[in-house]
Amino acid sequence: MNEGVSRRAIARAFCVTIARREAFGLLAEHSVARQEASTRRTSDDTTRCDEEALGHLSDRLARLYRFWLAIVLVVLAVGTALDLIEDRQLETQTVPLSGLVSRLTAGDPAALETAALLVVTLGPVAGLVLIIASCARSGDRRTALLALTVLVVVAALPVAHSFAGR
Amino acid sequence: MSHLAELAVLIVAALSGTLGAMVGLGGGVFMVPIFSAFLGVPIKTAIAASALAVIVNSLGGASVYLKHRMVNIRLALVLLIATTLGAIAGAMLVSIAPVDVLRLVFALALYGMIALLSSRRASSDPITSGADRLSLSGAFYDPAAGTVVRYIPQRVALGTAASTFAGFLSGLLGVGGGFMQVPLMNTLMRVPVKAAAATSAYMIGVTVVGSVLLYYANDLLVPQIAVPAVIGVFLGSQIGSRLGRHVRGLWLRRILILILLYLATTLLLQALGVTVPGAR
Repeated sequence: MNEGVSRRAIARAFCVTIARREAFGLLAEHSVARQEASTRRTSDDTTRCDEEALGHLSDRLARLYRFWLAIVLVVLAVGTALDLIEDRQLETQTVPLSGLVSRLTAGDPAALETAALLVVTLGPVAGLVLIIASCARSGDRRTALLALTVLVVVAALPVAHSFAGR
Repeated sequence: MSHLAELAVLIVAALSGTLGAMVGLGGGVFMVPIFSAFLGVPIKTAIAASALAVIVNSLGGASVYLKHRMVNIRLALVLLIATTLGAIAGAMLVSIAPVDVLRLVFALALYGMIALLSSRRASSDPITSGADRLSLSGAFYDPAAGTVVRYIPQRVALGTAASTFAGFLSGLLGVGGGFMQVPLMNTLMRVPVKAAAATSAYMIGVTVVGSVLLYYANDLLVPQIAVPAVIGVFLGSQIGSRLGRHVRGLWLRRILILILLYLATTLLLQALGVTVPGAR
């Protein structure tokens, strides 16, 4: 009887030990998996926004575009109206970039008209700047870098050309 | 230029914007040839004004698509590097290219558009599984299907290379380039048509920015033409997008094909030195 009890006790102890080992093994595996997932997530986070972040970025871009369109229409209407009041006709030439600010501060309607046309052009540029700022803040370096490259390509050559030529 | 001529520019731009919005082509494809052939506006000035109108159209159209989260921003940025480079190259050519060459290229591009409008292409199905090394996959809710459509763009390198040409035509002709970009994204890259149209609407605005700055630097941007053109196209696109829902697509397409055919032939004949009745 005692022998049977001790055998059962030994068997139980053996099972408990095995179970503990299994549990520890599972825990260890789980811990490694969690660590790997966490590493993966961290690396993903640093390279790209998740779907939700891109969704929010889309919303912000949509608001910016609507706001910009409203600004464009107002500036264009004011510039055109002032120009028509002053000399009863629209300008046949834009104001060069070099003299734009000084003529704008002097209240020249032709400069306002040129500024309105340039404001139209800067709408998509403002969108790119928003993408760069949003993605850089959320750690999405890849998208921010892509947008920055587009911005450089869009702006660098024409702006250099504008300053050189005008 | 008289006030009557400025009014004519505004009306033509509004009609072009209306027609363009009804078929998703943008106003430039109608505006540039009509300005150039019938209103006596130099074709380079017409191209510059049209490019500016493209930006306004893009701001309006893309804001709606962005709100519905249909624009694949990452894919757009990858393709934009190519299209903007192409557009700047095209815009540089505008200032030095002879007028007749521009007329000829525009006429050929219009014939290409007619071919695209005439063909009944089946939309390519999106690829939903597989490698996505550049993390360009996208998803959007399609209210017509009632589901979320997921896709992974294919042949990105080839699509980017082809986008350079779309950008080049955009810069050279002052049009958005969506007429090339949407079929390219759909058939070559297997992006669903709705996502391709939305992404293209966002892209065309950014694509032409560099071109417009170059036109400005080269004195091709004339406020007398550009201002009524921008206002007209904006008003026209607002009317067109509402009218488009009530007009039968097939007949509209046929009428537009006829108009484009007439404009393309007029430009082609002018480029070849043939006098066209009514054209300047």
